[in-house]
Amino acid sequence: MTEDEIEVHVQRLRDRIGLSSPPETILIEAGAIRKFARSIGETNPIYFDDDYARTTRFGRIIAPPSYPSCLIFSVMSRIPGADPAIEGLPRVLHTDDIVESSRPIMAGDLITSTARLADAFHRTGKQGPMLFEAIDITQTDHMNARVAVVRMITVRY
Amino acid sequence: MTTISHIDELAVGQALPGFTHTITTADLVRYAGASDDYAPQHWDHLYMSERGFSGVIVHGWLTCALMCRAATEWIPPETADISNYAVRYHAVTYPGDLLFGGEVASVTIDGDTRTVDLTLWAKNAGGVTTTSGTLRLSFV
Repeated sequence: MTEDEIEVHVQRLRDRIGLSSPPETILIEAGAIRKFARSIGETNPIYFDDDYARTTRFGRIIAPPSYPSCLIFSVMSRIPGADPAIEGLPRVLHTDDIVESSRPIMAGDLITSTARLADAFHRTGKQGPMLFEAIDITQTDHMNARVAVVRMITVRY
Repeated sequence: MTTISHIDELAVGQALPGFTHTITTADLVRYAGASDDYAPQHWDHLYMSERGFSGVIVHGWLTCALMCRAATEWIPPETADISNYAVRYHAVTYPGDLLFGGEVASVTIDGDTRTVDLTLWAKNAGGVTTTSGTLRLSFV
């Protein structure tokens, strides 16, 4: 893809900056946290054991710090105009993850996630022109308090 | 592994204990299911080979989760909250051995503020840093 062709995609994306997905709310189950913690090799009982978690300052099972990433894919795909694929840019990789966390996600939380297109730009690398897209996902609890904000940057080339 | 329970046990330049983690394609499938991340880059060999890759690659978020684990196995959630972290992927990561480590970048004790910044890295078996990051902890 040429620089001019990629700039058309950048402009098309930039016109959509600020558009948000519908919010999605999910009940965080202890079993889902356990399954995730096991998949990343965690052993701390704070992620697995109700009795132990009750003795900690949290009072219940907490999720590992990257758990906010488990709640982003569905809302990211529901930003209006989101492209699963762009012809001529077949490779999709992930370049940066930035997470601001107010507190751990915990078993029993009702977490609402909303994704918003935050930025789009292009750069030319060794592999030719590359299209970058930044998406922000905000997660709040049932009191509407912010739990985490995730910024995920992807590149297509 | 010895865990940290007080901020005064930490000094700038101190290395995280770190660990080596072997990632198999079965681990990628397990992680995909547990994290709800079904991107074909992590399970569809044909999809990747058609795009010039030698096979499926490790989820960036799995590398990130393991980098966070390197921090929290040393400074556990019982002791400190993570207020933010940021990781950058420099190279694709294929299944195999990955090394995780890092060091203390700063220690701040000021009134009620007791924060520690860590730098983190993941290296492949060839010694290439595939991912680097920073992570801030606030001691309770």
